[in-house]
Amino acid sequence: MRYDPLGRRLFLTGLGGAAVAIPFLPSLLPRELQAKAEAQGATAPRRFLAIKTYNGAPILHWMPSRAPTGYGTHDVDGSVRLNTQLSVATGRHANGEAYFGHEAPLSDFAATGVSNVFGDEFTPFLDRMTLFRGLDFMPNLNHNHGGFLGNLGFRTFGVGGPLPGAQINVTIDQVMARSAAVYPTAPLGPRVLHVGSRTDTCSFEPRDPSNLLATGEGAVQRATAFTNPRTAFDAVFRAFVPDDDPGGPEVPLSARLMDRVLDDYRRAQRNPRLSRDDRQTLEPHVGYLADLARRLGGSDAPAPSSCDVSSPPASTDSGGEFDVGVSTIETFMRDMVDVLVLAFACDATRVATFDVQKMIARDAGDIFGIGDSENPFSAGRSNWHLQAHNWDANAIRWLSLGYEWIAEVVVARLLRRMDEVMEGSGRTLLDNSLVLWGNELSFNHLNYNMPTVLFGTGGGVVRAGRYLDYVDHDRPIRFRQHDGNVVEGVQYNRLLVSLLQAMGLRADEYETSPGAGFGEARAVDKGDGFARDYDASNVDQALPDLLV
Amino acid sequence: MSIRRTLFAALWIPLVSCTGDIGTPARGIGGGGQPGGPALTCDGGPVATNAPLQRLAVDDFERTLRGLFGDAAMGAVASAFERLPADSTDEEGFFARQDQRLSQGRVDLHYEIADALARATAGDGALRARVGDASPGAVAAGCLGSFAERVQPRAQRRRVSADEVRDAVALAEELGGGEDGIHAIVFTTLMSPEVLYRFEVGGEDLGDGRLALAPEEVATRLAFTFWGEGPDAALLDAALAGDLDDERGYAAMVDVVLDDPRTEAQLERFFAEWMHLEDRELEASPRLMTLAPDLETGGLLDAMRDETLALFMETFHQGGTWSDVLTSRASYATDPRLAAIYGVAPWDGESEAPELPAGERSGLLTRAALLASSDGSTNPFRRGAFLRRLLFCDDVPAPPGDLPGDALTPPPVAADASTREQFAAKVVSEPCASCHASFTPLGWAMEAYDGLGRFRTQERLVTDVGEDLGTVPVDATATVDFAGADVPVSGPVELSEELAASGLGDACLSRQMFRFTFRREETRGEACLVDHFAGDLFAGRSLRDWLAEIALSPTFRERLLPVD
Repeated sequence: MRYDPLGRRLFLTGLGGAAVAIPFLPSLLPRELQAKAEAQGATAPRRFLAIKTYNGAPILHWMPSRAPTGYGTHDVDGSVRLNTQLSVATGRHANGEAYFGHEAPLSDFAATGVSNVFGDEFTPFLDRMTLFRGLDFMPNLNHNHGGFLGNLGFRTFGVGGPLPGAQINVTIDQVMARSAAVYPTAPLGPRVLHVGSRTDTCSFEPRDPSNLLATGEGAVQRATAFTNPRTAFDAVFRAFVPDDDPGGPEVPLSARLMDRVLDDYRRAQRNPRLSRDDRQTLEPHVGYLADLARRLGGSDAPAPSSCDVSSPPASTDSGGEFDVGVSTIETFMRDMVDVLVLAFACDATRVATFDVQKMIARDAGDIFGIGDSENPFSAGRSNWHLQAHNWDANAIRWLSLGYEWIAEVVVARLLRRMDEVMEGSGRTLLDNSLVLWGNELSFNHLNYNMPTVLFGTGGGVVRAGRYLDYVDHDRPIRFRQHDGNVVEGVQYNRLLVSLLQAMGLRADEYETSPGAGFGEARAVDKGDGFARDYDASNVDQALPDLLV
Repeated sequence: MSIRRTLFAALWIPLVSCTGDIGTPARGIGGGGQPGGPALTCDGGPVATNAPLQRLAVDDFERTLRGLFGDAAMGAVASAFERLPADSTDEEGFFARQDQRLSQGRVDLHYEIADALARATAGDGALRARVGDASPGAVAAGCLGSFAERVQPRAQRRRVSADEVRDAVALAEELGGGEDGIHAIVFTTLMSPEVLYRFEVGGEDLGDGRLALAPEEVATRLAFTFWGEGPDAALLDAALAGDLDDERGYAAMVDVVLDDPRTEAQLERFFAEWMHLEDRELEASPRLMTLAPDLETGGLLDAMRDETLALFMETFHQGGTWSDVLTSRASYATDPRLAAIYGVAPWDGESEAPELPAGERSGLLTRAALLASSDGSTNPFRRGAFLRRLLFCDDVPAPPGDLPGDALTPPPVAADASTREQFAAKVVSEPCASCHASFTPLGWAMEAYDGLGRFRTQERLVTDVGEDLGTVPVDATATVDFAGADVPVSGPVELSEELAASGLGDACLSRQMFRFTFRREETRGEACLVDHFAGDLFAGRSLRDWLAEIALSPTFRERLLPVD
């Protein structure tokens, strides 16, 4: 028997270095994968992808504001008024009165276009699109990294860092990735694939993987993203490269070596001169090594033979903030989309995040700005963040154009690609997935009415194709800020719960205590001037009328 | 001694060790007067540091492996290092190497790196000889033991027991011996916690809560502090042989380390990151085109960066002080375009550096690399905040999130109004005024230079679309907060002199060096140590001698024992 020290099945070097110039996705996917997908039939896995954008969105350009026939508009902001009350109450206010959200089929908007951001390119997906209005963060966060995915206790350092009194926890992608409902066996690629135009992500992972639901600043850390499509590709698909040196039969490789490494770490942890903090520093490392050892020594299903990963994307460095051109950014976004779709289609990974921190604003075909989300040193109109502060007519127009670019170049393209992958029973990869596009802020640095949209049905568990407005329009508007109204809608936490449940997780897998739901649900740092009259008793429930 | 020097000397607490809460991260300069905790008493000698376990910074890890395996072998792991997430920090004013995050992807890549290097070593006789200090034929002759005896201590930077070597060899033989055995030894060695983390646990318990570092741990501290990588064979062998045990031998080794070119490279990394001397380019913006129509901007910022680095390194090599860096009138501009901006002849890189025009420019603050902006504009707020944070080491709070819509928009360029006047008008009312008072005056002083870093007494008003609106006089006078004392300055030259004389710059360098070296914020107790070494600088110690003083301090060779 020949000893294979590495486990070539999983770790091979020299991934496709000569294939850089070959067009990427079109040659890779569907035909062969369709056969595989058909074989999977109804058991096709659910996938979750979170796309985060920054600095809030011009919500009157995000939401429908062109009323189709039979619809009216709200006097206060001109947005479309929905006619049909949901059958399930959102909750009760403190005075005991029940309040309800409203719905409308998105197909009703096909003729007028859903909104400036969601233009014609989204028409093919309206039946699998769920547009939300009235999802509110409970704490007053301002800029934040992880609120989008459920770490609602942490502002960015620029506006204060940890929010005193608020719970800090991991994000839902991390919880999903550690659930057997999502991964019955270890994936061949990363449990969560993080990509983005900067290394910073919206995802907070546990410092100690064995203590997933631990809370507090010391319990979590921000995950980092791949910022180059090629390196992301290599990381995802290194397991898929055929063995070019088959040699003799494989011995479950390196199991002995990894045992020795793990023993070394445990020995080191026992050193009496280490502090408790030192031992805790090593603990997650041991957890990651153990996970790696399981993958190396396990008998997971082999890589899908039909998954052609022979043409990796070109290397595109997204760094440098402002010194990359428009075409580079567009190539970068396209290739990242393709890596994500391929990773899902090949079932290398089932959970991913995509932090989109650059936008391009075009005006009648002319490019007049490349925005970067958080760099405080940029000047003039090209600073996404600065425009979000300005929030004047020009800024709103500029932001809308930027979001339209993201919608077209990133999101719509992603949806088309996902919809090309058949996975059996007449369903596509998009049907079987949940693609969430959201934000850290809504209108000018507030966290009310978070711009949020969901695509896909998670294999049929989401009642998609609707515009759901959870704002209680009967409530008084506490105050207006630019084009937004501060008035009660529904806790954003319930969207998080919905997504976790849609991915098949049980409550005990994500709740820190029974009935807690997910994430900080108290109105931390919100004084009397804020809207905060929500029904706390059902914060552990999915959004009204969302899931089948 | 100026008034300010006297002021700082009174504030500064000399040669100190500390009592009180020593575990809390410090904020502000000086151990005795920090907000956020009880008053700290520093007395006696310098205090030992905490030594929390840290993984190696990515760059340090790469250089360490390069030192072990050589450049050729590192080609096998170049792709893995590209995919390894770079260290970064969210907080401005902190060093990327303070990043301690760990992730599954990172651990997977460590595995990939260890395996690739182990494979390369197993299959390459010359590399085996380099790594194991063995002849190419030794492995074939079954000398796994001698190979392990050499590889393990060198890579793990520690003494390895005979039992540990025996265990490694037993596993290697069990897995087939030969090349597979070599692979097993190198792989398990590189994956061991002692490679990726720095353990300081092997020395003598001094009995009062302090632990003397073992000699090889001292060598490791020296190497990572001054070279940014693990000790080489010569340094480690010297430590293991006891050559660092007596003061004379240790002092001689400190000299060797400081004279090594790797020290210079490490200092450049420190200074460049501290000063944000990143690689970037000037935009060919309409404003710049109007301000300097014939200027070729390609590579100009690189020249500025190099010149500022040269200021630091030449001062270091010439035995200068930090105060010299802050006030030097030597121009190290080798690029004729930069020399023209300074109004001097280009430096040839060898002879004595040209002298900057008196009254116009002196010291670090006045170098173009810290003044030039990407589009040729000046922004006194940004310049002031930059200097306050980085050269004074003071906190500058971020703007509140609920500002009016246009609060962060730079004011437009207007005819007959200087940049200073336009910016000042934005912050006349609260809550802006009181906050800006702490840093904006520094930006007023820097208005003596335009957006390219050219000295000026008249400001040329150019809009962002390149429209020239004429000129107005520059007012670079300011009243600057020096540790609570309001000090009037006539311009940037006087500001530099005052900063040098105050000792606040020394304190800031000391603090930044601590953070860069230990890769974390200092605790309140360690602020005493920072003050102690700031005092050495303030007393006129050259930068080179100051680094030696740090290394020779007993503090450098001790740590606190954990209390839990």
